[in-house]
Amino acid sequence: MNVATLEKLLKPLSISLFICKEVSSPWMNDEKDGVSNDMGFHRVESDQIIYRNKKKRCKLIGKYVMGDVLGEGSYGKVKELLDMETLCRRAVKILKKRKLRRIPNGEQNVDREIRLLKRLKHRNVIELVEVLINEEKQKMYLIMEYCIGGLQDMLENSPGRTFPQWQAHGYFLQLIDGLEYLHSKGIIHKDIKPGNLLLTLDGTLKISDFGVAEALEMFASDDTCFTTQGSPAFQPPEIANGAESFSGFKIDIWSSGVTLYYLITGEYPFKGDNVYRLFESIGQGFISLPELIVEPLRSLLDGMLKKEPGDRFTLQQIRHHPWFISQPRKEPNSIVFIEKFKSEKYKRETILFVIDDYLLGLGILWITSILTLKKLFDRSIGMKVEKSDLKLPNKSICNLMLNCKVLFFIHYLKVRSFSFVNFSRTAKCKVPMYSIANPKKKKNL
Amino acid sequence: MLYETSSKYYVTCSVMNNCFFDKGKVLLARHKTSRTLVAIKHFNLEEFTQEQYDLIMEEIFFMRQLKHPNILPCLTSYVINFDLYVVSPLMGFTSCHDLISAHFQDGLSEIIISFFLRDVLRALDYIHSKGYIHRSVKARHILVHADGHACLSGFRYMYSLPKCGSLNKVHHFPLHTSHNLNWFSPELLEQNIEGYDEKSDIYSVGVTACELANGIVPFADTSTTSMLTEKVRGVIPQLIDCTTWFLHDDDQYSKDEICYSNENIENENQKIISRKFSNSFHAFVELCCCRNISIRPLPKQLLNHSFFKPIRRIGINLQELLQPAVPYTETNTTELHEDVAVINDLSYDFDDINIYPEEWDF
Repeated sequence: MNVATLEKLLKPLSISLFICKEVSSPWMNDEKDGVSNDMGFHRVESDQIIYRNKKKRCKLIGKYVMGDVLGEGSYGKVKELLDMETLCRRAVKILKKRKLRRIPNGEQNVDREIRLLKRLKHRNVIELVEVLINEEKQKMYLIMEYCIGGLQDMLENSPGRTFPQWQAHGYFLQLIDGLEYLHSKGIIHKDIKPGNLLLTLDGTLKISDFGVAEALEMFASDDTCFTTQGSPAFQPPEIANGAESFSGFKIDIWSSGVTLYYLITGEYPFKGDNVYRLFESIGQGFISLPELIVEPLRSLLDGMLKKEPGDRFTLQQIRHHPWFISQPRKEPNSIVFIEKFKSEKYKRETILFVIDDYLLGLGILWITSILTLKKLFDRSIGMKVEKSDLKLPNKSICNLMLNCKVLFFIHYLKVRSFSFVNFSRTAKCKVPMYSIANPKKKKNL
Repeated sequence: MLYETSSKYYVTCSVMNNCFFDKGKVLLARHKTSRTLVAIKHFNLEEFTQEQYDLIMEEIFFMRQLKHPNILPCLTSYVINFDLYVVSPLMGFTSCHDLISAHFQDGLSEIIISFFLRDVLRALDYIHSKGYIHRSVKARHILVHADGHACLSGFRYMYSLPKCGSLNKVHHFPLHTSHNLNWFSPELLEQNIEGYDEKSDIYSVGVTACELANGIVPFADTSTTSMLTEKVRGVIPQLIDCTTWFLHDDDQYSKDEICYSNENIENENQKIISRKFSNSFHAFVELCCCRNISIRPLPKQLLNHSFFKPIRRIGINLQELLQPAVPYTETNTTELHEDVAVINDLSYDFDDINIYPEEWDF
């Protein structure tokens, strides 16, 4: 692509383009002339580069910009979103009708999940923000609070596959808080497990995935249930033994007990090669707590994992239990960090790429003046360039740059924001973003 | 001084402004017992959603809790039927935003800004010492008293910093604030694992400084998303004057081409281009809006900045400087009605009157 074609391309977008005559002065010369190397060029470490196979197109749903994939399930993908009005980060669960039909009770479960979530509002229960439906594509978008990951992923990425006791204690407290709220609303979650316990940015635990949850009848006399579809390893003995009806609240207590056991030991209390063996071992209901679990935690787990639902602790008993009340000593050295399990640091960047593409497409960028690189560097003397400002290059713009051998100065004149954006970032070396930070120094030179 | 909690004791003079997404009114009123002028915010609670209601509650709560000469106090508040009244002292020059839009479209002068920002920073220092982040410092929330001192208001979005733990960071993202986005700091907008702290307010002070000086907030016409990308990449908002006006400062850059395109724009902004802010003001904004949080100073440190030195000169009369703006004072206000409640009914009546000038039929 040469300059003329570029001009043709930009014309319909009402972008005015000026090209300096002296484009020829190659910028590599500057380096040879001894112009300070760290003024503009920065080496990119290989781990800083995110490789992308294909160019991401900017996708919009309603007022949201679609970002990276956060996770994938049987029903579809979970992606990151950015609300364009409030700039709030969100997550979206994308459900495809085609896929849902294949899952037994799929559509019913989704329906129930939406109905339940709309009723709920609690610090430790995930918030459903909005539901969007695209009839054409046969897709449904559940827009939720943004969480950076679940306890399961965190455990899998921690060194010992366990949490230190104080950290598990913190999560367990929040789990019981959320569970108490759900039970007070007559909702039985039925699928409490580390994978369904998500964490927000500030480390608040959120109970999520209400796909198999059940709401009791408004005037139900007790919490009797007849069905369950939760994960096998977290099912109580009465279900493993095939009871026809059972107490709903006690199921959640049992699976919370198994979850706590799992968080602390990194193992399931019951094991089996397949579901039948697993259910057999659960059905016997005999557990041997490892030596490492000491009082008072031992008696709590013992109480929560009682075979008879009637003997099992209630939420009130758990609340008054010494381990629950106690405050295990913090060991800052043994903390399992949230960051560790995802490249959270770079997550933000990818959505920025997407926005770049979006803006370029809209023709919002108003290119008013193009200088040669040499002149750019003349100007850049005396400017502060911060390391934290280094960002990865945007490929599409870079290609444009390389082909034209010019530098764009994008200047929001109308806006009077008076900010200069430099899009001269190329694939291998890059000029960091800056603005003319200190005009005084420049004048002195 | 006791301020009564009944509309009987206040005589309305005029409606000054709208507030809170235009759902509330700011009334100028006279307190009968003390014969002083007060500002009364009036909200009709029926129109509010639960969240908006909570925001107003928070604001009153914070206003009552904080006590500082540069923080707008709440003298009293009361509810009658579905109407909520919040009484606070009168700020004669109203808000900085109103000053700019009425009299100073191209921005305030540097000395005035330094006075206002000093007061804002003092207020912020106090708020931070109480363990809160203000989160909505902007020209609209800087109110100016008739004697020239500025007060900070707008405590709806305040958030308390966690007191325990080594990491004093907040991750809460203020929703319902799409109109505040331009003032937010990049670390707040990023919503990443690192969170933000009270230094986020300092960034807002920097943006507010640009707003006061330029007459328009940086990124005003940009879309929210491009504002986000720019801020995250560390683009610093600028004061516009002859040193930063890009097209004007160097002759060696092919001027012909530039003039050809931007003639109109230049004529329009001649006044802005020809002025000059001091270097310390530029440095102040740069320091406030620094992307690196560890470099960004605290309010206390900023108060010693050379930008505030000219204030120490004696004999600066802010009222003179602020001319042609005239404050609301005892002498230039007239009483309208018996009590505050009447003005509401009146303004509602006005809404009902339909005037169709074209429909005269002879």
